[in-house]
Amino acid sequence: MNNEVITKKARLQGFLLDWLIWAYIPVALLYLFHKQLKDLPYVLWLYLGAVAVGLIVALVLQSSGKTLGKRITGQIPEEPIETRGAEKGAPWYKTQVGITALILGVVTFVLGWHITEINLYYVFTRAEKMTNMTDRLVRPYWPVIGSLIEKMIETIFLALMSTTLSIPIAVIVSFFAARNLMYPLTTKWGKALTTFMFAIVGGWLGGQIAGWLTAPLEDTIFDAQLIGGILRPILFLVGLFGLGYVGHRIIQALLARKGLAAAQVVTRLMGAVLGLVAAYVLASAVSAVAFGASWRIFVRDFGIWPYVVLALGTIGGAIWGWNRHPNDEFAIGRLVYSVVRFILNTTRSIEPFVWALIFVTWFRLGPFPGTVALMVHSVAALGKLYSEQIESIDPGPLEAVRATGANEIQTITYAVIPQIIPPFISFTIYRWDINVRMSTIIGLVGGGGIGQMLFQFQNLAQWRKTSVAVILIVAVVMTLDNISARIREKII
Amino acid sequence: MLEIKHLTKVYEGGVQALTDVSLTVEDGEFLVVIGLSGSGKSTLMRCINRLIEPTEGQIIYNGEDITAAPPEQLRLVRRKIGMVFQHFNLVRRSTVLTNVLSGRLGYVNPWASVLHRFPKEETERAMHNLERVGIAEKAYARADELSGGQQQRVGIARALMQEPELVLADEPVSALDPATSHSVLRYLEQINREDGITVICNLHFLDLARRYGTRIVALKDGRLIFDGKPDEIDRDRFKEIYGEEAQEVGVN
Repeated sequence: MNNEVITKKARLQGFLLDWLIWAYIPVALLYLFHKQLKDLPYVLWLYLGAVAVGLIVALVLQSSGKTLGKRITGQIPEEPIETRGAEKGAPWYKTQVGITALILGVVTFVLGWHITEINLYYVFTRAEKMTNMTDRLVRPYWPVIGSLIEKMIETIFLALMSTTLSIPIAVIVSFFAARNLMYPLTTKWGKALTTFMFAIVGGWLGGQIAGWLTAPLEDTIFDAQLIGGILRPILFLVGLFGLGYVGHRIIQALLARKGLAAAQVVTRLMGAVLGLVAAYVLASAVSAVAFGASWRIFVRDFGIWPYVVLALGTIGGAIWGWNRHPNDEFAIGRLVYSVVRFILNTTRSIEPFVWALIFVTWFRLGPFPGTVALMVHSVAALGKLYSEQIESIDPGPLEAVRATGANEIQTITYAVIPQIIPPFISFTIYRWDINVRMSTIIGLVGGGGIGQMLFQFQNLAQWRKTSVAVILIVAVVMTLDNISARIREKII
Repeated sequence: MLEIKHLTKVYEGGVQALTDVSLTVEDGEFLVVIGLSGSGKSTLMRCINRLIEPTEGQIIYNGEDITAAPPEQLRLVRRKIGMVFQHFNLVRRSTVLTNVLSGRLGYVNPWASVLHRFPKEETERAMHNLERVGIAEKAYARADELSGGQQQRVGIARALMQEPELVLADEPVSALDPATSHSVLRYLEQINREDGITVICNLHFLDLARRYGTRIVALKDGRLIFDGKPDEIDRDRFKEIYGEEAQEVGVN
């Protein structure tokens, strides 16, 4: 039974893959002439036609046996080990898989050549145009080095500060992103839900109260912006933890009672509220992003629909909560792990360059936004490296310390931390090294440091000054590379 | 008194490690658990202090149901149960003294302990326990500088820090050579006789089991197939526990 389901799924995947392959080939061929075709009124239909051709070819090939899609999804059974090698198989260029792969490769290469505009004519004819610039690159204009060294110092400290500031955050985050520490953590379902809902409401209330408190200060001698800016996050956290704690105590008291009816009612209610809030947030976010409009578009511009969606969310949440017992196990560790990992991965996949763009608008031009940009990226990168290090520790001491009756914090202090200190130091130095290299780039978008000068010089085509900057960067990066490698060698 | 009632453990993925194991351990016994690798010895041991959550069944220790204990209570139970491990499970980079002191974590002020501050009498207790196992002079060495036998003695000292009523020893000598094995087991025997600490010990070798155990139980494929005095294990019993192919080998 199970086997059959797998083959069915594999068959579908194989077919879709074949369709993709055989639609790609005609679409790619059409795309070669995209410049000529794109003004035709029926160009979309041409492409759709190509996709349809792919569908037909794929359908025809399904009955023929060994398609590439089937091969990739593992539907072609391997020959049993006893008979393998007894007969000479067909050469690859006579098999369907081989031919398909060949066509796929050739088409992709031709298309790639076309799209990247590889121009051999220029390669052989325009070489001397370049020497115009390179001549000057090899004759650095040394008098500029004084100001460049100042900027280089700025760059090195930018890297140093961003690394240093990221360490404490990354260390804390890494514990929450370590599978071996988080997965065993569970709580009661009702407790998690109620605490979470109270905390959310608390955080929201805190933000609101901060708004009300600072509103009367506008247009007075007080710096309302500063006070609001400080008050809002503080009150948010106070509300988050304060009400979260209240919720925790309430549900704790309810769960401790003999009958669980009250706790049951509260968790069901919370389930419904969670459904409502989730529906509101999700629908608002999706509609805002999809229509490229403000966050409020969902409640404002869709007539009756918001009510329907919110009601559906509430009902969904209620149903979801209805059948759960407040004493059920809830794998809160897994949830936190997944959320933290997701945030780390997203943050890391956004280049520091982009982070710098964002923070330049917040903190204005200069080394400060550059530092913060690198810090954010470093937290994500170090958080991942650290947590992987935590995951690979010897679980033995963990077990031993836990068995003595130590609590979780003691277990981490005695069994985890001694094991992770050397790799942590090593990774941190490595990261500093990376940050020096990255901080030269950050300058391009106004994040301070030598990159800013590099960008200026090349914009003005001052190649002899650019040359000095490049030489300086190379020298510093090489030196730091070397030093950090040596330090790491000593530590491990 | 430790009562294990109908204990069953099925791991995620469906491996049935223990099936309906029932067993009562009296205070002061030196109970040896024997069986092939994979017969469920380690699982049984870890179910007792719930390092592994049992799937079914109860473990009742001095009248208290461990299997139903909430986290705080479980901690209080655990600190009365010492544990000694096959691979010693010391923190290799920490000093011997720190490793021994970590056995006391269930008793001391948690916040002070996080800052590695222990009351003076606890440090003295640690030194005393190190003296008992004969390696007080290694107190400030790093744990990984010690030999295997020495590390296991540190493990015993760590367990003694808990002032345990029960010590679980999970194959404490499998990673050691024969001579060292005897020395380590003698320390376990000593705390069993002198301090009246109940010991439950997993062992591979039958002659070690006969030599040190006051009672032997055998597990096979997660089931309890023998429970009796050491001298009750004859050739047939042996074949039953270890399989037809097995030959008895000795540790001298």
